Amino acid sequence: MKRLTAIAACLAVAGAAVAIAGSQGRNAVEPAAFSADEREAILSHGPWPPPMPPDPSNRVSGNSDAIALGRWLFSDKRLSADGARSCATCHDPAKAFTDGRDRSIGLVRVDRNAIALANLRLNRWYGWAGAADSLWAQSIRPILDPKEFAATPELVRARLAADAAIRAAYARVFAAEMSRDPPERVLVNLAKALAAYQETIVTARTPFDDFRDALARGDTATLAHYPLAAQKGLKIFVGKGRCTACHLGPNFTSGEFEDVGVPYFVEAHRVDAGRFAGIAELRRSSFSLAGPHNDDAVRADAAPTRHVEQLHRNWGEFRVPSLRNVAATAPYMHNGSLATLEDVVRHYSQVDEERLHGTEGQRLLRPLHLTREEASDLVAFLKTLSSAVVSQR
Amino acid sequence: MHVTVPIAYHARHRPQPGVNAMRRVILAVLIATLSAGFAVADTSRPIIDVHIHYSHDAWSMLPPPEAVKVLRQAGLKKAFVSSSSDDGTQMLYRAAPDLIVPVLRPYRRRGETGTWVKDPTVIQHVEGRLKANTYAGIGEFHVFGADADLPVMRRMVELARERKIFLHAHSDADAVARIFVQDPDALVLWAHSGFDQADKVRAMLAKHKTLWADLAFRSDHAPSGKLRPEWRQLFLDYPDRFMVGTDTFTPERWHYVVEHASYSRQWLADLPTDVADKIAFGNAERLAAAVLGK
Amino acid sequence: MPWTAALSALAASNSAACPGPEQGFVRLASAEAEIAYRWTPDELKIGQFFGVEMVACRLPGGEAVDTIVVDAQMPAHGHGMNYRPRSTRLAPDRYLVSGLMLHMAGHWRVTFDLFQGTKRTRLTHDVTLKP
Repeated sequence: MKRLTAIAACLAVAGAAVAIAGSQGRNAVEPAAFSADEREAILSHGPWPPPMPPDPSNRVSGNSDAIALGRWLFSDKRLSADGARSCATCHDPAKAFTDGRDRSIGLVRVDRNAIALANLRLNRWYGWAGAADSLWAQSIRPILDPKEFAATPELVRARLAADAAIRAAYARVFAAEMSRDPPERVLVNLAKALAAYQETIVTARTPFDDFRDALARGDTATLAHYPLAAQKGLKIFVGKGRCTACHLGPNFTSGEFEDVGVPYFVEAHRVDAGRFAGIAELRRSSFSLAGPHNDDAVRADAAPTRHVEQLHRNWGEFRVPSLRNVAATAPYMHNGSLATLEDVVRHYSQVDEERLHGTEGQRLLRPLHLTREEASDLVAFLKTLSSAVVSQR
Repeated sequence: MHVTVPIAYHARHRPQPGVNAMRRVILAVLIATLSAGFAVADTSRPIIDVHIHYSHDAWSMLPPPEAVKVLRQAGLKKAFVSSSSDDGTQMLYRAAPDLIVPVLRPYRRRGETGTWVKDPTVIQHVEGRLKANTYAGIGEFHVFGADADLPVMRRMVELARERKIFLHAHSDADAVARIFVQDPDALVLWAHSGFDQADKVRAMLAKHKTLWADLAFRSDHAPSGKLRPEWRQLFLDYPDRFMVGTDTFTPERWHYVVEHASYSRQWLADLPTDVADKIAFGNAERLAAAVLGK
Repeated sequence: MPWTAALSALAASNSAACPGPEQGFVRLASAEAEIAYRWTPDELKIGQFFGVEMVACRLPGGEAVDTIVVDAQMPAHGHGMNYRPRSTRLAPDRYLVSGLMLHMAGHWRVTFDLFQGTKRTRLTHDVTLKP
């Protein structure tokens, strides 16, 4: 209903196309105009932030004590076998919850880029391959992964139960005594506290959001503050770039997985199978929403898990990442193989069609052949999706 | 065929917080088993994979000895290989003549997928290669609808007829039908079975007695490794006309050949042994022997 | 109203057992067959799981349906969904299908395949989802 109201407000502004740049100042060069379809597409990327209700599969989602415990655990190196790394090592709050590396370093160099942690309640799947279907299940993966923390449930319980403050916080949140709970339950509960904390990481409103809302209410004065290059880039984004096919909605992602022509060899004789492996791992996991640790009795959120189908095309597909805060989360792609936003735009401008299957129909992904100015405009738009602030509610 | 586990089942059977670890482990194993997608299957059944490409961008990441190793690891009895350019096929054939069935792709590089059928220089290229080497077929090429009647494609049909080899066509049913108009006795291996539904594939097989269909890059016939009934009946009714294949259209997909063979073995196990063996390797073996005169 | 709904309205008169708009159902008919269906929830949105309740009203030869398969594809792009719907028979010729999800904006074709043995009758509903 809110969306319909916003669209109605937008349509009420003017006729088929609205010149949105002001007549003076920095945007006076050449006002970009948006068609009715473009306006509708732009409005669909908001409002921000959208509702982010508690996670029904996690009984401590939104619980302030759990959030406090999770925040502590996020930087607690005792979760790793060698005591040398924590979640914050690769998801550094000072770096928009990434680490700035192409591929992260755990006990060894891992295969993938540290994906930025923000707005996670909006996800359907977690990680580049969607191997987890909840944030708490995803939080367990690095702890047990031999390449990352290489810990065990027993190790985690033994170390943390020795800490009186953690023990007390655990008892407060879960109404149970940590040292008496089975190790696996302790691990799951701690992961649920970690999830409760991570859910609070939400990107702030951006210049794009102000522009989008101004467009919705016909506020031409505010519209004029949005840089002209970003307006032009936005027009490409919702138009000939076809970016909205996958980067849709307020969080700029379908939440699904695609092969966008990025090579996925990890080394000469090894590939990262991406979504194909993710689905296989999900099906093996005892921590999925179909399993016994889901706190939602009716398993309302388990439909994706029940219905997801492993397909040949999943081989080498990776998450469509959100573009919120994208300027702060370089490098890009599942393996960090593209260093800058300019490189990403160049990738799509010159995408190697030979890597994509089939010739039937109209390919979604085709080389955009952008001019230098168009590429620059698209980057300018992408930068307006970022904000200096990542709030932790 | 479709199995729905009611939501109420999960609610009733969800262990309560006090459940012991063993019960959870058993449940986890059960869940993993019930929901496993491409589970372990009979690995002893040989496979002939009729849809392998070894194109230029694969050569450096997967040199011929490594590529052959992958095919053998997958338990392949043979592999029908066509490449952009054909040099890739020739390299593999030299590395493992017992394993590789060479098929001549008309593309000099993979980017010609959408242009080759209107490029008359392709004819000279294909004629030259056919004189120089031995091939079981021409393909896999992409041609759709009326383009199958263009001069370049007509020449491919003539060349296949002259040499009594097959055409590996990534085509819609219309283009396949046009090929048979040009040569009613053409040997056609229909790539991906045209991505058509079972009843449409059935109609094509009924109409064209020298049409075979590969099942590459599709899993709709056996979602999660379990045969759908209409496809099962189709395989039973036309056991001599189907083959399996991976389609290694990027270098990375070479590492999917093993997984794909495993998937094929899984759904083939739903069929009577003789039918499964024909689809797994028998049909391809007979076609290769017939066209190569062995 | 989609063209399919208009077509179905023409053919609906001889399908007394078919639920109609008063129950939230839409009729869909071809020369061979007719079904009635309703989405749950009733509005399709990108990225949201939905189901469909379907009644087979008129079938070739008058024989019952063995099974149905509901799926969706984007014809222009040659791909389908990432999820496999599952059907539950509620009554003879009445099914509930769950697990559909359309993950992209654009033109989707929802297909209803009704199987009577190896005979398949397909009815389709086209929907265009805006971002």
